[in-house]
Amino acid sequence: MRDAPPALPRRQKTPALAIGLGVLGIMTVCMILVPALRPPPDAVNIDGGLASTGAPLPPSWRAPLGTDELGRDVAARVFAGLRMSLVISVLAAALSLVIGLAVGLVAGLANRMAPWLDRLLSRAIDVTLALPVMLLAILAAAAVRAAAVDGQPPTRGGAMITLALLMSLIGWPTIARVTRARALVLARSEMVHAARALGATPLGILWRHVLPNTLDVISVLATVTVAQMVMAEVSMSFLGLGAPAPAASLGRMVFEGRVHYRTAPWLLLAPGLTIVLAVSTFHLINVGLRRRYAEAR
Amino acid sequence: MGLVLAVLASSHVACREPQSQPRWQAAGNLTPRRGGALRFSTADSVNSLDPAIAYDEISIYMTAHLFDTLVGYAPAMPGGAGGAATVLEPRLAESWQLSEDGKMLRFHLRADLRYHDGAPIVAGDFKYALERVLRMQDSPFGSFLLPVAGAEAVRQGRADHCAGIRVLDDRTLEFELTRRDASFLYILAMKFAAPLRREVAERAGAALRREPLASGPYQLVSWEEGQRVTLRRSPHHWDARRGWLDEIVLLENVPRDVELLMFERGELDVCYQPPAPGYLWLHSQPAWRPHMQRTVMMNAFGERMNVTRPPFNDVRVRRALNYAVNKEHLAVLLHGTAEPAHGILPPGMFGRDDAIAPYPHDPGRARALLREAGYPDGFAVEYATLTGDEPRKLATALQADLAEVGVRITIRELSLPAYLAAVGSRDGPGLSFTSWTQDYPDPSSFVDLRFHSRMITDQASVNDTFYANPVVDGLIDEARGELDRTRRRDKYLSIEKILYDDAPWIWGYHRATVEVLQPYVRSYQAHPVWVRDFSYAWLDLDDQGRRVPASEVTTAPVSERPR
Repeated sequence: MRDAPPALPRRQKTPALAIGLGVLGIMTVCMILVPALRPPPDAVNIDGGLASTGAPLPPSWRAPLGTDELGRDVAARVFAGLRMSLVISVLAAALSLVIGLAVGLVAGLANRMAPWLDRLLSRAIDVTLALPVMLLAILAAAAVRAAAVDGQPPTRGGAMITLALLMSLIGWPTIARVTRARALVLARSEMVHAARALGATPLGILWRHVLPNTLDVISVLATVTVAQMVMAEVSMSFLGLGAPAPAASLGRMVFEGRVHYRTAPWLLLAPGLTIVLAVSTFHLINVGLRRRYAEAR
Repeated sequence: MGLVLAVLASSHVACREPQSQPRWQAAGNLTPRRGGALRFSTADSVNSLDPAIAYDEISIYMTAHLFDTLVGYAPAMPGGAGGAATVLEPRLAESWQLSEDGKMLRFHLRADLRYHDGAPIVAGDFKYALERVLRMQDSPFGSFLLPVAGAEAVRQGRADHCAGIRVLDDRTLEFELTRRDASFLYILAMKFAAPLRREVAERAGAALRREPLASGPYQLVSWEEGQRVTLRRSPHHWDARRGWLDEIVLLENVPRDVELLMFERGELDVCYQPPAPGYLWLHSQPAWRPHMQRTVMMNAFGERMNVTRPPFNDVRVRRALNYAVNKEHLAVLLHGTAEPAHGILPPGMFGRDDAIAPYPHDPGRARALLREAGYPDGFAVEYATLTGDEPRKLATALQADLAEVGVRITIRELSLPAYLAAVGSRDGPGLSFTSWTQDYPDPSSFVDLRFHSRMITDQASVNDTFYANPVVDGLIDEARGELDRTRRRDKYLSIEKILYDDAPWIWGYHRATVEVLQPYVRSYQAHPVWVRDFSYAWLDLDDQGRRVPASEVTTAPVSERPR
């Protein structure tokens, strides 16, 4: 007797997308509410926020995530840091998408019309992928720190934009490669042949026929890129890149909290678990989206 | 992701870690015994072992053991105040006399003094060593010898020999001073004044920084630069009270958090100034707390202002900032290791006016003074400090305090060389972090250098507030030449009062050091001048010279314990 065709496991119906979006919603509400309800994230509070020995205070009703070594409210700092991380990550993901899409689509379509252009762009993708990005980031961090040490410290906005630009360097090649593969298939499709026969320009084909047919891939890529960017942002601010000192940043909170792991573990756990939650959320949304497209096909 | 997970995982393990306690115990000997190697570490590295060059704290850790001088400090004993170790006692000299007019000083050397190589130490070696310091362009100590007659001529290359240092015979040495100087004996206790044999110095040349000729209780065995320095007890040292340890090992370039972990594992015998989280951790461990040692050191910390430039040229502004800063907060942030200051002279220092209370925290008064001085809305200014967790933490607290009275500071973090160049320059930052640690335990080592107008230069100024007050200058000079202690103290009390009112610094705090010792380290206390001096320390080990594991400690005397 033949085996029954493998049924889709029931688990696949788990509403990953709903959970992901739900958690993202809750985080967004927290990012708006917490700064409104808690003291400002940079407010030093030595009288009320430190023990008599000068030690940070553990979580309590007054400070739900405890205080740090300057008596600042960790909850306020975690959500201020999360907001900054997400702003930078979304910005960097958007930049990566724009660059990656443009390069991938042009390369894919050029494959038959102008093979030299495809080869050029593909090699550019390969070269960028081959760059040891974390090593370069450490180098950049050292350079920025040296500049900040004996010169003027970067402004908060300037540092954020620099970081986003650096991070988009990590994101675009993967997107370009996937988009190029999709564009290659589409370029050979009857739809594109027909459009060309009807006299459509390459740009028109790209805009009207190829781009709309890559949107599913793009939305899936976008979510995974944001998750990747959150990790990159956190790693780089851990290394000392990013907005200068009093500003809260998840990566630097982990960096500064790591030495307190024995006496004040909340200084490490609060930002650390927030990072895990943020990254998992975008992965959940990503999984949900992929399933939805798989079912639709 | 891996990074964060690894960090989280390690913290998870750490949270479940059992309480920490010493792994070894004292064997229970009651009298000092010889033997064992004492290991300690530093986050920096030793610069030079040539006493004419070594002026940084780390190099002095080593020169303190290698070199002996005519006079030296009485031992610092555990539990004793820092001040107890600031009394001078005879060392290589067994006695000395000061002439009636206070300008002639004659030393009589002990009999049979020897260097580590067995050669005798004679009076001429002191003269050679001091003249070498005067001739060396790169020695920071030449200016300390200027009270000696003829020193200036040698320093400027006009004479080969210093007329004011006279060798009467192999065991008698005489100094002639141009003026009476109450602090001159302290200067001779600095390690650059240790004896040096001419042939050794000339043969070694520049290599003397690696091949010290030891006159102290220890001699150099090896120095793998940047890694470790090993010292061994000198066989010819005269002083039976010093040199119990067989070896002293200094590990260089060990980060401070690693130092604490190595100490807990028993790989180090002493842990110096653990960083704040480590300090709080050890303080929370009942088994370690008895082995933590706090020593009040002779130092001062605060913020210096350039009093020649607006807005700090107005004394009302300087006083306003003193009222604005909450010094009690600084003491909390430094976990109780700091004591609020009213001036530069630390507690226990001769000449300090203990009746003056630090400026109280009074933002209202600060705002009123600023309004009076023409800054009703405060002002914005750049604040220079050093890089590091602690300076950043203190700067952030200062920023918050000053913002309360309308003074907005931008924090600029500088590396040590850049910081030194910036604050010593006339057109450098108007407001910056500052600190001072004595060269010798006398008020002249504080006020003469930091507040006498003679110490002002356009670049690398030691008087970096550019404070010039003829009254203070006069009092400083008179105090230096005054040999009557009561009259001398009165002059310093007057200086204290004037400096408090003129407020060239935001007077901050005096800092104590905290050290944690393994239970078997005995007779050790941080030294107010040398900081880390293990000359008197001994290790309480068993009869085989091994450390006794904590679990094996019994109440039975060491010799009867089963093995």
